[in-house]
Amino acid sequence: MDHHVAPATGSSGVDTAALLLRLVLLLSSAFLAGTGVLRPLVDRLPRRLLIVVGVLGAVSAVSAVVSAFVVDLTALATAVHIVLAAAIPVLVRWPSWGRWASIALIALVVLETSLGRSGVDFAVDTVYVVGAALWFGVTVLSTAVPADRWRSTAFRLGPLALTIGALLAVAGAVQLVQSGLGLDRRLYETLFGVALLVIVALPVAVSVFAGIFLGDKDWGRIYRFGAAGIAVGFLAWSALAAIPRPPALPVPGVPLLADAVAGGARIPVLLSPQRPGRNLVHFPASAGDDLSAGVPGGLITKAVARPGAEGSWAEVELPPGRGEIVIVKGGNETRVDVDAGEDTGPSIVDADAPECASAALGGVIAGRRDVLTACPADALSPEDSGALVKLVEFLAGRKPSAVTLIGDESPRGVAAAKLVRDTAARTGLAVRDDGGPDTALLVVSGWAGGYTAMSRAAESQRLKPTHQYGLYLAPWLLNGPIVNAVASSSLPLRFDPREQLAVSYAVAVGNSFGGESPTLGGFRSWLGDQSRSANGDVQIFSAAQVNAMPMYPNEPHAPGMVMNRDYAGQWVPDGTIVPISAVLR
Amino acid sequence: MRFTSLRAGSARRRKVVTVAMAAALAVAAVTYTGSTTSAYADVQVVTDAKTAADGKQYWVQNHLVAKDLATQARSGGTPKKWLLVWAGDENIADTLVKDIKNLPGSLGGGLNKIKNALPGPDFLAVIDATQGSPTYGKVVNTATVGPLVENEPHHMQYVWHKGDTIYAGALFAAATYAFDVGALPQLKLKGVSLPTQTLGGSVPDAYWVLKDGTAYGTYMGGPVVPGPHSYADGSTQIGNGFAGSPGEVVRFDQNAKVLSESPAATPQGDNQKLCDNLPQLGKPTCANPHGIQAREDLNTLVTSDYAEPRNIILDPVKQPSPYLRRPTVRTWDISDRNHPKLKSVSYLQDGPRADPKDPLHAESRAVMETTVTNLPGHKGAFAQTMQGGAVFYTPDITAKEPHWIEVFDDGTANKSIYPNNDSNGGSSNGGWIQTSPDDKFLYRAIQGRQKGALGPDDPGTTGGVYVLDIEKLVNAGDRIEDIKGRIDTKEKAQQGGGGDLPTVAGAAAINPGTPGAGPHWGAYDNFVLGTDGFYHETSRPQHLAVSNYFVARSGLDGDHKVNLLNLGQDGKIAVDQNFRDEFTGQVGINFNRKSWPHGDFGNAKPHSELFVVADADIK
Repeated sequence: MDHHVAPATGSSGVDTAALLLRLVLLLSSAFLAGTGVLRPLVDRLPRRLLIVVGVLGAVSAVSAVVSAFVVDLTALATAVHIVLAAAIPVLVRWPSWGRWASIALIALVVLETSLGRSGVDFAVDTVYVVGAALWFGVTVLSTAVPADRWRSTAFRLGPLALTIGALLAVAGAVQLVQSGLGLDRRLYETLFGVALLVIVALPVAVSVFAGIFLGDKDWGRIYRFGAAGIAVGFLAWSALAAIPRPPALPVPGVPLLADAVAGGARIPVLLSPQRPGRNLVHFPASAGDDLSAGVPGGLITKAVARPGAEGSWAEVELPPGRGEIVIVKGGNETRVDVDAGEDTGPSIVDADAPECASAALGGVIAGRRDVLTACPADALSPEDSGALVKLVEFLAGRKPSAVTLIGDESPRGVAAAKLVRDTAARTGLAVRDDGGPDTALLVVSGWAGGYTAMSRAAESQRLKPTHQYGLYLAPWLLNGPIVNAVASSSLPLRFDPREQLAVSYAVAVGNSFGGESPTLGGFRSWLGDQSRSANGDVQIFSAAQVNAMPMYPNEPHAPGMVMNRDYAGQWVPDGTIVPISAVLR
Repeated sequence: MRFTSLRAGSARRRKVVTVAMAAALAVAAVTYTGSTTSAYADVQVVTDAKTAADGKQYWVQNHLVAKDLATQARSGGTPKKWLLVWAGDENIADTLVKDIKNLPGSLGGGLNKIKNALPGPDFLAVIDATQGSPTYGKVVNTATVGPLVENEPHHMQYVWHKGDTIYAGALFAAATYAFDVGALPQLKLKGVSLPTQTLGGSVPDAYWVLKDGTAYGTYMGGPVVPGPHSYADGSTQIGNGFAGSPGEVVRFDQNAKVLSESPAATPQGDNQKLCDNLPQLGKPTCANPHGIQAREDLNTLVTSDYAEPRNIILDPVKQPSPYLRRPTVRTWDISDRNHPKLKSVSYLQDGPRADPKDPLHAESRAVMETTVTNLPGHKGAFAQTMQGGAVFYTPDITAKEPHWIEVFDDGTANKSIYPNNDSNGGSSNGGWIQTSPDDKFLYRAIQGRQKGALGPDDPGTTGGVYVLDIEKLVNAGDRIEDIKGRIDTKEKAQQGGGGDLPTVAGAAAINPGTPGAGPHWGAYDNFVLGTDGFYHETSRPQHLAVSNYFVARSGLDGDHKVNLLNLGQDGKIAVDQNFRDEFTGQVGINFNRKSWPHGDFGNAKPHSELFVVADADIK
């Protein structure tokens, strides 16, 4: 009965103990399996080598046992690992049996290394693990067994070293390309980049070394000297999954989406507009409410809620050029690289800044890196203009005593209010500023004004019949905190929030930014050039928190009755939105 | 240095084997997708689509499990009885969590893999419910609906008869689907009603199918557009909008086309103290019809009002008013089938354990369901309250003002369900209630009281199914005065009222020992296999099916299992130990599973169920 919302966890959330355990387990297993696979190449093993193999098996098996207590494991896989690790030291006395057990262990190590990966990622994991294990195997055997006690074979171990080194280098290069990191400063400024460099550079160095000493009669020396490089490369490869992937390099003027880690908690961060001067730092509600942000050496301000917007927001004053912002959660501090550039950004009215940031977030999630030059509140778009006209005509048909109009001073709000008044006048619908029992409320302001208007309407409606002809919102006010401030509200939309494209965006924004709800501006930015083609005819939609059982979330006498936000892709948190009119023509 | 082989042939062979293995590994590595094979390998997909009123295509897509159908074909000519379960997809993230961290050396954090995917489709699961069948308990088809997702599948009709359309409601989508089940295990879509076709109400709940195949449906929420709404009967009601109040009764044809909409509200409004609305209405109303059953021979329809279905948290300090949950039952004159006319509104009375300080758990609160008697000589009906935990009865639904009395308190059945339960029926979270076709028994499912519901020290109660003997009650007469016995003391609430009042005939716990984890809904099996090789309807059901899920958002979630119970002729019941999950082998079909015939969509939420037989197998 566990239906909690699983947060999008990332590599950064992996704890150090689990990582160390993984490295010990994988490295010891690779040495053990490599030795076992190549065991048939030599005659009787010296006693000290048997001890080494026994120790490797014990370390591998014990690591697996400890893992079972640290990580929730599949019992079967754990048992198989333990049995193989314990069996190989015994089976080395019977080379053929030992080889097959070792092959099985290598296969298991490949799966353990590549858990959750597929395709090319899985292929390069396989190459790296198998190559490294073979190298380790030759190293162990050649160290302990003199060359004259090796059995005759078709293997040419000198050239094999060159081949393995080259394969590992190629696998590392593929990993580098697959990582998405360009050849930029992240390669040497971040741990992830350094690990990638190690993964590529060490096998290259080992290959060069092997090439130089290819003609050397003591081929074991190649393996012994190269083993350190291969082992470090293998550890870097195994650790890569636990190292936070660095975000894309900040681009001046492009709102920055990053993951910060403070006190072990992953904190999605949105910085907008990333220009010199005043910027907004936004955190999703799931990041908590004990967050602050600022610039190093400057003022650190607490992130607070803003009316009509989800999550919390902090103002920061960015200097020109490259720099950092400081994020503080509780008593823990972390930093995020930023680049404000030298140019000034667009002029953004404070009240409309969250909507502007949310709109930009849609484009960033879609992978576009457009410089922010304008905000939704800067102008009334043709599609919203048409939707408002249809809405007012629809309301005129409902015949309320009047429409109570709420606007604001933004260019969009002013144009929308004028359009509503003109259309109302044309259709014989009275417009007034105050509400009454038989009025309809129509809000065309920005988010802050919309939230205030809805909250006041909700209070009035709780006390006496008010706006009985309904609460109507301009399309851009389709945002969780605004529509959920009232029992039910209606909007004219040109898309159905329940259809696949809209749900896909809602899921994408939730996944990318800590479960944040979708917004119209974000949807349009996410669609990019598709936005126009996605516009359909106007229909009125109604939003409500349908539940079938009105319960207070923390109702004390029913502790089990807490609401679950387990409906991914919903445009209205804990609610639903459905069309309530035919297409308005 | 080079080693030369003494046995060249053997070395060559080894070389070939090594190269072959390397090549195989390379191919496997590059083609490995990282996903596990679905448990359903061979699935036949058949789609049936219809164009709805909005001009868009809506569909049902069958995913028939070829292996199970082949097994059935081999097992001979025994015709099949199916259990249809209307279920919603649950967020896939919950399923992924369990799959990611599962190998030694893994990091346990999911490595960025635990993300919400696009919601999966909702579906009707077709389960083999034929006793003795080799595929008994197996899901042989999942008929997914589209394109709408997250419908929140809710109720269908209470019982299915030969030739009936299946009407299935979508709580969040405010839609009604109509399915053709004549060729089970395959389904067809006959039509879908969208919210724009039922402007007089919203949030569909339950359905009652008439003898002509049309159906009445309760739409619990108000007219979708706030303000006045004019109905076809000429009346106008002021509503407070989608999912608000007042609701209505909709009549559908067999393709889910709306034939009529009838308001549940009275012109003068309802009791101002007992009926709250948010936003407030000029004329307060309790009209939020949920349960619905009819007696066509008496030209009477009964609906019970449950709650204003919005989850309203407008005040961060105050709890929602308990008076948003309704204490009312409505009777309707359906002499003109297409124009049901509201005849009466009855207020159920509080009982002996009602505490004025806690009106939410008074016996009268949240009349979720009603069920009518069936035999021509009987005119009574029952109603049950979810938070109130009580069963009410009126002997004559045709009366101008039916008089309802409490006849049973869930507390009386608590210890029969599970000996460690207390005998307090408050907040029993009862759902399904249904008379047997022969009016001898009353079947009832209760989820049980959640731990802490009545106070910090409240241990809660185990839920389950109980059967009441109602023979004396329904034969007592048509007047309240004719009925001997009353629930008028706390002792009677815990031990039964005596006289003609119902007594417990049988009971069974579901998830014994776990408070509040019993079933919300159920259905009886009205089919028996005759000697002629066809199924026939019976008035003495031998099985019940129940499902453990309500609405996840309410917090009253269950363990998502569907159980069958064997029902004796004396009313005794026991969980069918043979109806087992095909993957876990445990008793009960677990809808929390990774794989379905339509794909690895993970957990699903089963809300309601019906026993159904294909046309070719029933007489």
